[in-house]
Amino acid sequence: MKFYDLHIHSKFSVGDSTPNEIVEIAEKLGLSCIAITDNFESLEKLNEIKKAISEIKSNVEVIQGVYITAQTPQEMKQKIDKVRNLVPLVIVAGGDYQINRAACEDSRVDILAHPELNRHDNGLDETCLNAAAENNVAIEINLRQILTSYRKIRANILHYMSINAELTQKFNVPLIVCSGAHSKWEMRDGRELISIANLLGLDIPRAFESATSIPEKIIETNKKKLSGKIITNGVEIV
Amino acid sequence: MPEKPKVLPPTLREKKRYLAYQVISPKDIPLTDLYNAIWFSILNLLGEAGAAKANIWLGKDMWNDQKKIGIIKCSHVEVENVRAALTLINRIGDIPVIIHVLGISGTIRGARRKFFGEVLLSSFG
Repeated sequence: MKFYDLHIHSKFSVGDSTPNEIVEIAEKLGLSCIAITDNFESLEKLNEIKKAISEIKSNVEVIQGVYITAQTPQEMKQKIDKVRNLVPLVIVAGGDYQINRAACEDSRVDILAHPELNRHDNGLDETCLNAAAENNVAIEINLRQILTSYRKIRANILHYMSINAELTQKFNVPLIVCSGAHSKWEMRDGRELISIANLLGLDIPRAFESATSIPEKIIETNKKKLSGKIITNGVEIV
Repeated sequence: MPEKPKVLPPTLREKKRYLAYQVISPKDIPLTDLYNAIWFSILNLLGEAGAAKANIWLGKDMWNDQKKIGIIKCSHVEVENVRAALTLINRIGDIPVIIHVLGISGTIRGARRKFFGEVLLSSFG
């Protein structure tokens, strides 16, 4: 079974580890595919990361992604315009309700990361979830949020995440579980990510999907889009 | 009158599983610190009632120092929760650490043979 982790930061942005160190640990943990998703700063930096990733020789498939942080929905859209045709994975940093909603309503977004970040609620409402289901935007369960918090804060985060897990099931929104690692020591094996999803109330088959088939589908579809095989949603060159 | 209660028949005994885990860290970690960290994480995440249900057992003979692999005994229904608690250990003292679960076995003998690579006398008939 192929395990995916589609949210890891490297030294090129907020992370502590180089892409090589990350891949070394991914091999030890038995991950099949990882995505190095550094914060988007400029196109030059994006090319620099692309070059570093292309030099990696490993059995683990490494994909370049972009993690977009924005203050306003307009800023988010501008940044997506710049990168969407260059990388196979676009993650938007959630937390702010306006951004959460704008990300759910934009079909170019692949993953909405941690919608409950720094909030006193789960960050998603019915409108967001309906839009996410329509635009096929996956909602993320971020392990790092749980890993770096303790006691009362961790309990609250687990609560909001379990609400999101339940709501995504009701609204048929894809759910994905990622490590969100800022260092190689925060990375975890796919099976352990699944146990975290299970802890949040997902049954085992659905927890497996969140770390295997759903990320696989996102990557496969986006690779086809980049290579020009998918012209638009629903139209594909066979 | 015997001093100890008789051993229960197999059908009445509590069902258990043995989780084999590997410790990945830049430095060696003392075994007591590791066991304390595992207990701390389980108690933090599952609470005392949850830890009681999980029926954790960590023994000195359940650790292979050369391979940095250990075995943890837990209840068969709480395996996923124990796995999640092990996932949430990321630091012991100042040393960053990953507890990587290698697999699960139904018997301690199977776990030792599979993960410690021990050759048992019974293998020779």
